[in-house]
Amino acid sequence: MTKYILRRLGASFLVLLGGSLLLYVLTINSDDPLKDLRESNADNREYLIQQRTEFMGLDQPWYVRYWDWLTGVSKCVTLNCDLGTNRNGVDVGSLLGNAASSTLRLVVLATVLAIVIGIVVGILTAIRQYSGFDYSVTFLAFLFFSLPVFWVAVLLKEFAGIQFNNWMQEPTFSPVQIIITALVLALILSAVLGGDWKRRAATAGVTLVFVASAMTYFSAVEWFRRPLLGFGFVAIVGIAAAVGSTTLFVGFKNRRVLYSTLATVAAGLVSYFAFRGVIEEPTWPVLIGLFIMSLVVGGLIGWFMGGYSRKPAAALSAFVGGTMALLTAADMAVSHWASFLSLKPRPISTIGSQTPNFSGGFWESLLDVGAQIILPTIVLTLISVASYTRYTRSSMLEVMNQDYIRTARSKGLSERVVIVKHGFRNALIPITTIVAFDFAGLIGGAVITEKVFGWKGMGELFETGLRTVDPNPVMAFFLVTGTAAILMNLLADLAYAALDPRIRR
Amino acid sequence: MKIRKMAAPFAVLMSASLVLAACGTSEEPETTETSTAANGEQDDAGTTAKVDLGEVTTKEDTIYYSLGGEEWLGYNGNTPETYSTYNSVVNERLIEGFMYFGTDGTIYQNENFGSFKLLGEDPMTVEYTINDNVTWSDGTPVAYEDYLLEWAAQKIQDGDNQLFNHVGGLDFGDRVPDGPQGEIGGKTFTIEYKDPYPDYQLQVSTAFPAHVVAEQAGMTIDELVAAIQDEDIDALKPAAEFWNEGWLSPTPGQLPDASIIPSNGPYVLTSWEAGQSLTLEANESYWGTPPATSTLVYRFVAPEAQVQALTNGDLNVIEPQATVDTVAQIEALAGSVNLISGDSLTWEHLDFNFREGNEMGENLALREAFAMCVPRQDIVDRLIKPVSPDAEIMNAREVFPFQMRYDEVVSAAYDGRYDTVNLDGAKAKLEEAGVETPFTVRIGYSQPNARRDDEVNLIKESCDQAGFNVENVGSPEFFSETLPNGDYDVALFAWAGSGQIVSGQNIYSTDAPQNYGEFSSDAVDIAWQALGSTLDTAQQLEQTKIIEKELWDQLFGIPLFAHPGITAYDATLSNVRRTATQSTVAWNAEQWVRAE
Amino acid sequence: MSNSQTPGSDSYSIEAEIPANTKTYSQGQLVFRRFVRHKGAMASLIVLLFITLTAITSIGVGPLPGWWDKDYTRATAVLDGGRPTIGFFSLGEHPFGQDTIGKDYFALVMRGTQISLLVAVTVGVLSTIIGTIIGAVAGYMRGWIESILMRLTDLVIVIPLLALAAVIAKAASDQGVFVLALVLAIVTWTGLARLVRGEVLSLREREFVAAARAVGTSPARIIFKHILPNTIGVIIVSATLSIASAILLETSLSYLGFGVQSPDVSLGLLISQYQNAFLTRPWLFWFPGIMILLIALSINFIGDGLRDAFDPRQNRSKD
Repeated sequence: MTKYILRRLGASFLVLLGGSLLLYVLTINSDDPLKDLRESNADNREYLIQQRTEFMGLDQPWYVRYWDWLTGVSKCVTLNCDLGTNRNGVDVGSLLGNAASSTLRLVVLATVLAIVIGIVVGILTAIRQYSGFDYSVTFLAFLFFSLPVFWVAVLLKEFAGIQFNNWMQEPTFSPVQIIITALVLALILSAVLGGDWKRRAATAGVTLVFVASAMTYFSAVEWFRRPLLGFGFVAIVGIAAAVGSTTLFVGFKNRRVLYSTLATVAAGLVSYFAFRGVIEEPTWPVLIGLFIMSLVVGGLIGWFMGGYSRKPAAALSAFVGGTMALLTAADMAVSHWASFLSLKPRPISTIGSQTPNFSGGFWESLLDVGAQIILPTIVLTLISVASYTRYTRSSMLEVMNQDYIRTARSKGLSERVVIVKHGFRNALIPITTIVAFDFAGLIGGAVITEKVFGWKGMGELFETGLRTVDPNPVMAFFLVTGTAAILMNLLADLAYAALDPRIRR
Repeated sequence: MKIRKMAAPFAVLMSASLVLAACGTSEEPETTETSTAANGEQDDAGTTAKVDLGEVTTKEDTIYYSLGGEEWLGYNGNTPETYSTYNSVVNERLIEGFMYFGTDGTIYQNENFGSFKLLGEDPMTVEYTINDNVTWSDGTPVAYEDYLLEWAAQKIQDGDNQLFNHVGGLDFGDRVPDGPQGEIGGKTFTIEYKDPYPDYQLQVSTAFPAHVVAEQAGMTIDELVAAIQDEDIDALKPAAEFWNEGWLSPTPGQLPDASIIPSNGPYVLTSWEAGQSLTLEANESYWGTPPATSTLVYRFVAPEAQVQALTNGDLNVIEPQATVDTVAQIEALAGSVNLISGDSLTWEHLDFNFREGNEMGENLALREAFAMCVPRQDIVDRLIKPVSPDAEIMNAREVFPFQMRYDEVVSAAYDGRYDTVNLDGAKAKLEEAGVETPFTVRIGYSQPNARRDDEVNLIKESCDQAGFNVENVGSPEFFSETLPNGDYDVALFAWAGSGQIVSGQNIYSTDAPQNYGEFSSDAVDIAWQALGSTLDTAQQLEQTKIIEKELWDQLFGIPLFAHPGITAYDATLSNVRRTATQSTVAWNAEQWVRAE
Repeated sequence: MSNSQTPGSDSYSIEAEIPANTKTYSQGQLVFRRFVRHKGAMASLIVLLFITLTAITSIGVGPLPGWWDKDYTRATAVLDGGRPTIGFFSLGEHPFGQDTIGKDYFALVMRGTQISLLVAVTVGVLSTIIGTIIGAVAGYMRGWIESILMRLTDLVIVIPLLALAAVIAKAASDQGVFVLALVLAIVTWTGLARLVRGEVLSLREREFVAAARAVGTSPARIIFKHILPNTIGVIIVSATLSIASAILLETSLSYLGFGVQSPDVSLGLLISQYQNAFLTRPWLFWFPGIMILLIALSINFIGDGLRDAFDPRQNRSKD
């Protein structure tokens, strides 16, 4: 296996090298790097041209320029990268550092969201094949990947950004809005949950009443200016997570697991109060430490209470522990919304990845960064979610038609076990490949999203570099995306081997 | 953005030798008259100069502004790599100088800072005086040595190489071989020019702090001054190294230590978030009228995103692309956002090709026929007026319609014969020219440029009726291939600002470097010579009239219009004023203040 | 999606499941019947045909005039602020409105549609040819030829698609739309090449290929006559979808300023030119946007229908 990986890495390295040469040569020949100066009538134009020619080495042949770049990059081996400067003398290495961190933040979040939503929706559509829900999702999926990215982004900025901010000044719903939203949600939910028409009608009716009354309440108390989740919410969602995950993965009848997850919820609720002081104004290490602690504590509770099913109990309790931690953090963040609004009355800016000189505390700053990342994430997520949904659906359908699924069913296993244990696991195999490919592609695809939302990310680095025929920023972009593509590809192969015993060697 | 790109970044301000003065700048330097003839540009202030706000107490507030998405490059914006409009919109808040441009391009002395006057014409000598209270933010007075260093940066050579990486090249050193004369720490110095230089007002304005350079180079001010005066290259090398590198900020987000970037202007730099924003706070030890608002945040926002950002309150002052839609979008916000539209110091023109063998260049009647059918009014009405309602056809090359001398120059040089389309006249002229019709005319310009596509469409629409066959040969390689190779009959492009009084000499004289069409006229050459060697403003004006008339009569080309520009700002702000110059709206940023 | 999941209907074992008492169909007929039953795909096909025909006949092609009397390059007086005049039953003077200098926007959008379709179809055809040949040769030949071809594929894959397209398109920006289409084809064939190689790898081990080889058939003949016809489904589906992605890629490039350049017109260029107009002159933004959406959407649906038709068992959405 090691030999295989090494050989793959070796080949990939050569490909990367070839790719860099190709891109470098193409970039420097893509246009005239002195174009803007030629158009100028500054009386020292000739001097400016001469200076830039010298600074960028435009009088050198392409192989010399490439070699210069390559020698700089090869210093990365000693962790001393020199990616050169752009034509204004700015160090590309530090540009890349800033750009990569903001782009990765965006792309990772979008990918995670897209995977979760895409897989869940994909499975649901596969289970409810040829239902109204399936058709609607299919249509939406095609719609999403037929949309020009920037077209959506521009619209989103206007309607989800500016109009949302306007609405936030006085966050109330009109009766019409309430009725329409409730109706739509009722229809969606009844379609997802399915069943005969009586059950559907019941689902729809309950949803309708619930959503309508909740919205009326929120609207009446201007909840959106002073939102609160509160202890009750955390408790209810925690219990739901415990019961839900237990039911889904081991069955409700497994009391040991059920009790251990519920015990974890209880522990989480205790710490909800116990750690309140600490997380009022935390730091990232503290938060991450607490999160890990809740995973560990959950795991331990499961381990000791799990008895004969100790392993699933530990895993699920750890999951519930983590959920409780996230819920507590979410509760904290939401409770700071009001003070965030007082610092920044229009919560969503149309530009940039954070508010300059923002003065709030930890949670306000988190909300600020969150509010900024939301719109570009939606754009990126929409497009990936479409393909993940379709892919999961077809993969799941294919698996569900396999003989072993029929065997499992004929053994009398419950539908839950068949879908989760036999179906989903195997359907996951091809999905890993597409996810890996997609991630690298998404960094490239973020070029446009970043441009519309004014993020200074990798995309901007590339685009500016290419527009000014300045190879160093373009190559820096390539180094990251190319390496990511190769690593992800390798990772996909390894994951494939891990998930599919047939191709283990 | 595309349109802006033509002119904006490179013909800029800061360094005096490159500055875009308007041509009506030949006033005596003392002038502080209010401009009366300005029609497009004059605003509520009633003057093109900065207004005196009287007593000002700095208000604790933040104003966000943006003029583009380009990252700030460093304190030293005078190297060829860092020299750009986007850098100077920030740096001009930090370093003041002897002069500034009014909203129409008029040169004003910055009387709070100091003054200068012409002592004699032969040899040409100018005396500069810095006011006594003018200091850097670290307390060091601004003095003679700062200007000596500025001169040295454009004078001293190490072998064939310039020691300092100054964007101005060696111009200053060539014109003033002996450098500023004065005493260390002195507030007065004189400059003696080798030859009379009409643009002397632009030559000296701002300077970097010499004491910082000396300290960083490990020498005393006395040693630095002595090394410059002796042209001691070895001694100057550490100083030059700091000047070249130490004031650049190659790592975005990391401001240099505050002690090496002192300010003598109303603001100091306090923080920088890479790719996001740059924060300027009021300079507490500022010697002049304190700034009206305590904090300015310059955000890096590309022009196409600026309007939405203004709508959302993320920005308070912007200068987006002047398109019909941005204007309409901003107008829709009337009440909460104010819009000022006007001209800028960049003008669009059609130039003929006079190279050997080009029929158009050799045949005056042909050029006249073409000029008669170009729908100049229609172009302005359709493409410019929707953005800038007061726009008009431009009928001169060396003065802009919004400048003082425009009417005088135009009435002496041009009788309005090409103001309206005259198809019959064009047909007659074509016949007179004795060419076969339809006569093919190749119009070249730099693509992509949507507005120029439209201009050529309109010209084709009209001129094809007169017997021409207009062929669009626009291409992305226009400036690198079409223009230098002469593969065109008419070139469509813009000159930025036209610059100093003598900068037109580079364009219209025989064999001049920017005379792309190889036009040649003895009368024009002589007039330029005369203009360039006199300091008498009346004489300069006379020569300008002669040049303009010759260029019209021989039809060098056809001026079309001054580029429109727009400025938009949050209606709660006062004192935001548009300027035609490339100092941009930020030119008086220290006066912006939000009403209570 | 609307057809049933018939298990085991592999393209070469199709006869096995045909009941004896029904009429037998050739594979082509079967595919056709399945496709026709796919409602979404059929509706999309009609929409796409309608759009294509309208785009071609309205303003004509080259010297051939169309039925629409306005020219997309002619500036006329701007009427009513350039608002669209289209109604439910009438087109009016300028159905899609006019642009800033009074050019008829319907004609412009039709011209843009022509160019966008031209680019997309050219890309689809070319990239399919390149991808198929490279994939098939690599898969059949194995050995060093495969190594070289697959490394070449990796080389193209390792540079992000949009980036590579942008760089080459910028270099070729003054060469017109055909060159742009060629550029896009050069960067988009890789997915299909990998797919075809995979198919060929498994097909070449089949008995019928072994038989052909045994009687001394040349490799080229084996590839083109015996192997490729069996991968036709994969290829056609992939080609269809590549047309849709080419349209979107062209749009993205135009937005970045590296795609079709004015004075040429494409749908992508139109929306990027008027992205700031969507509040003030919304028609300039919406009409080309909706056009792109319709074209891409209908091609995606057609691709989905074709996939179901060719291979009802393997119901994948992506290569």
